[in-house]
Amino acid sequence: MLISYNWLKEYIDLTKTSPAEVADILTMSGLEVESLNKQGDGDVILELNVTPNRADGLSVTGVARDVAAVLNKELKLPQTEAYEDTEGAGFRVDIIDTNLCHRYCGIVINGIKIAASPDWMQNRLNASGIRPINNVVDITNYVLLEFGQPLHAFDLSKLRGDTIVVRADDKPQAITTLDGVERTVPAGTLLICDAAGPVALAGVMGGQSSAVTDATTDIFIESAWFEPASIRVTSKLTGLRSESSFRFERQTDIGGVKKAALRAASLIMEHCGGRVSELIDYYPNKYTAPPIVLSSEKVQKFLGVEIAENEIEDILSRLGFKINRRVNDYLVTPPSFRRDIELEADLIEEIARIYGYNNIPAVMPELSLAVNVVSDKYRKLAELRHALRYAGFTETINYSFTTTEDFTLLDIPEGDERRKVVTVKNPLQKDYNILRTFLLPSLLRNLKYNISLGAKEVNIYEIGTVFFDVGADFPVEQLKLAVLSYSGRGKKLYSEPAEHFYRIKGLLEPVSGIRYVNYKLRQSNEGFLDSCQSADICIGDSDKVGFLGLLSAEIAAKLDMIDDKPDIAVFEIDLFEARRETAQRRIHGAATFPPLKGAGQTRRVEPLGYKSFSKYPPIERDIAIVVDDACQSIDILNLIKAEHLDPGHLIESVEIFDHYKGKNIPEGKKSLAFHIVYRSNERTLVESEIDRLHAEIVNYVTSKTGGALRA
Amino acid sequence: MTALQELFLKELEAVTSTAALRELRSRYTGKNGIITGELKKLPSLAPHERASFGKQINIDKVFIEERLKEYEKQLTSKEIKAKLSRDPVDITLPGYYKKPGGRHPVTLVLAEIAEIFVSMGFSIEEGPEVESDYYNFEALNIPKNHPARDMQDTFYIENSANSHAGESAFVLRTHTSPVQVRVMEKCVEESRSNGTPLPPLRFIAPGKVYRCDSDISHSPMFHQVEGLVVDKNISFSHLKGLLEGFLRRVFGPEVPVRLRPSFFPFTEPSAEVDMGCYFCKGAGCRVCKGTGWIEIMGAGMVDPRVFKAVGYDADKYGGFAFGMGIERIASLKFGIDDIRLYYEGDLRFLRQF
Repeated sequence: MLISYNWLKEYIDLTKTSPAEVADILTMSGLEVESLNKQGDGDVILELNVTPNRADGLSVTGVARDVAAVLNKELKLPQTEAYEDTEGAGFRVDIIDTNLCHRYCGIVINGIKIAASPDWMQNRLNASGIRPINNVVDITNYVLLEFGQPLHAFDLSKLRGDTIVVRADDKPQAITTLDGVERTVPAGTLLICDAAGPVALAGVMGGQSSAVTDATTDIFIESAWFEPASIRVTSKLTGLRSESSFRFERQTDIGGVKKAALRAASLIMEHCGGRVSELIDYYPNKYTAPPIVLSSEKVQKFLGVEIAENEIEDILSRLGFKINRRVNDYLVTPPSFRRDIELEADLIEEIARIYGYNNIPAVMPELSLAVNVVSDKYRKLAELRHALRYAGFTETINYSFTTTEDFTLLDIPEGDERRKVVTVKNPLQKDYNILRTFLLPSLLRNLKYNISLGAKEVNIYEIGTVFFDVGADFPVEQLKLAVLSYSGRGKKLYSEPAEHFYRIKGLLEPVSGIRYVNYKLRQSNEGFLDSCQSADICIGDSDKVGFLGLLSAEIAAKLDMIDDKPDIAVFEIDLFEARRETAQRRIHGAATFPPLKGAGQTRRVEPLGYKSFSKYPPIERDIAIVVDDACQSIDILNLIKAEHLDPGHLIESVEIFDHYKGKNIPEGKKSLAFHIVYRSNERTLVESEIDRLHAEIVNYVTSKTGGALRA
Repeated sequence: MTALQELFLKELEAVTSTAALRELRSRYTGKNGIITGELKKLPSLAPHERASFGKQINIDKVFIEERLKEYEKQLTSKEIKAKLSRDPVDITLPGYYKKPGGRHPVTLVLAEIAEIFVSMGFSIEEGPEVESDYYNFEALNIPKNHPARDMQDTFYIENSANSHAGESAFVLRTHTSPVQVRVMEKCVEESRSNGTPLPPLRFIAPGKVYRCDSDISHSPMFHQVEGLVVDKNISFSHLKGLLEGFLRRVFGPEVPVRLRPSFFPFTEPSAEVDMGCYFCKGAGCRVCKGTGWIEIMGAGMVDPRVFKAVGYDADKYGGFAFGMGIERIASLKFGIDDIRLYYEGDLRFLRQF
């Protein structure tokens, strides 16, 4: 909303108040001034950002009212001449849908002459962002700016019949609007009709057929009150947003409908000639503002400052409220232009904004102590981020939006859970119209982007929510962690041939530490992972919670990176339990939102208490065994730990310390070496008994695996 | 000093190894050494000379033996040191250190905000990112077909259970305020089923939110922190006090804070919270558009209509809510002038935090 400082001065004495001061007053009382623009003629235009509740701020007089209230000065509103209602003389107004049109005022003016409007009016319109057209149209717009009441002028001679009918049709209707576009509006759209059909989209735009032209001599001025939601729907459906619809959908002043019509009439007679032959004011749906109980005690309690009763009364009456003092409180009636005021709290805001937020003291609240559990989840996420950070990984955050191309790129089969996507109806980018079901594609995009910028090493992770359409109203939301590690220099961290796999696997530890869950890795059949160097991350026997491994060479090649065969190690895993939303859309009633879940409320293995440890010395032995390549270290580990060999539980720990293939080891075989610590909780062990036990274990392991001790 | 002593010292000076020292020792004090040789001269001397000559030789012997012993000590410790010494280092070469990864500035600022509120006894709550129209709008006093809906450009969601035409009943939440409704509803429900009074509330709810908007200062996805305090005897001045305290903790103890009237459908009175421009210190600059103030958050007293929607008695309870954009605070703190930097994943950016 653009407001001219000079125009404001017509309604309020601003001789001692500069434009900058006016701007400050408005900003600090609820009508924010975004900028001040000096004009060539010395005027200053204030650009206001009027919030949707303040329809009264969409007019010069409305803005002046706030300034006057703050400055405690008189508001001088323009006077309008009074005319007798002459309904029924020649022209009639009929409202069929009185729930959509509460009041309709019409004035017939005959014998006008269309010309350009006076310069001062054109200047004001221009300064307010409205293009001058001719004297009649300009006057309707001038009054719109002055009072916030939209008006429409019809060429009376083009109206067929003698009755204006305001109605919503039960069939779609066609109309050519002022902009020359033929539109069909759906049933239920509020229309202004003459005997032959629609002549205007009520509150949005007039029709072309009855538009005022240079030849027009008789006009019919419409000033009405339309139901806001109905106008908003029409405006949205037609994509037409006008100065009128903008105001109607914010609720215009039903009490000012006639005043605006009269103001227009007197301006028209002054500048266009002609005479008022008829005034119709049809007001079938009378508005009475509901009185609101207000107590000064509540004002003080709510704001935390004592405002004197006479000041409360004063502020409200300056804003146009009617105040009825009662024994213990007030009965306050809002003016018809403040239909946003319904409750005591709304009145308190009015008092506060004029009193000045700056004059309310800042006091720390005194709250009773309570034991607040800061969720486990939050703390653990912080730990996880810390662990990943010190492992050299950088956090990225990507958009939740993605494209189905992800599935093509990564060969995600039809029917895969990840294809159960939630769709965005109105995406910003046409292709990016689904919500992520996994994070890997985003990290791959981050990788490509960084490589293109010259990065040689990319170690990144993301923690984010993914969404699955499970056929319920709400999607299932799952928090996931994805990690990606790429090193283009090919430098080995340690002598392990599959270093990338083991490096990324090592990062599972901080995660399992956070979730207190032991993961099992199983053979993975993810198509986008290398078939030899990949695994599914599972809890128990079947519950897959993630994947781990190297991106397959085929997929990596599709990424089009400079590297021919880049080693890209990734893993992705569910963090915590999914949020399973079952609530239906509800209006009132019991909440069905499930309790917010903390870290793995199920399957959680917290370390409870500490385990005492032996005070006796250990005896240590190693075993190195050459086995088939296919043999897994965990199998040997389990053989070593076999219950029946060690009934006294003398094995304290077994650790793998070498994994070797190559020189001195036959083709198809590998050497695995384990370090075993024997220790008793009750006594000092004797070398000879451990020699015996160790020999038994070695025998057992070699016989079971068919392996040979490594020389 | 005798000539013999002088000669010995001169020779000792040239000794640099224990082997040479051994040789020197045997040459002077050995069986056929110089001392023995001198003693052998005794019989050939006149009797009156023998006493003093013998005495002198003895003094020489003691002198030599002491020096030898002392020097041997020095020499051995020198040799041990030499044996144990390591290669010299270039102290300017970098130490072995795994360079930590970068923190995302959003996470960083969020953690700082959370810490401040947690220190004041706030808990942390959360809610879903896909929300129903009810939680995102209606329960927050934003009815259908109300212009207040224009304040937030909304992404609508479609899934198999509601793929009908028209405005979808599900949205990507446009703000974290629905968490207010969810938490209060949960409290009302618990209080009803347990017959316990409603608890006082103070929590923050951080999370991702979505708006259908994208340019240098708007991102279709960004982060907000919502805060809610509900108790008996909560006033607007408390809201001012708390937010002032918070902003001064984040931006420095001197930062001016002002509240000015605004409109949010779910608070009444509502306030826009401004702080003195971080860059020009109030003088007026490009960042604050010359006003000296920067809009930093929205806040207000919980609207009684919201209390009513969730089943709180607005006559007994009062409360205030506030909300802020994390990226906005991070941008001000770190001088980040393009919001897209947060989501591009450029390591050159992210590794700076």
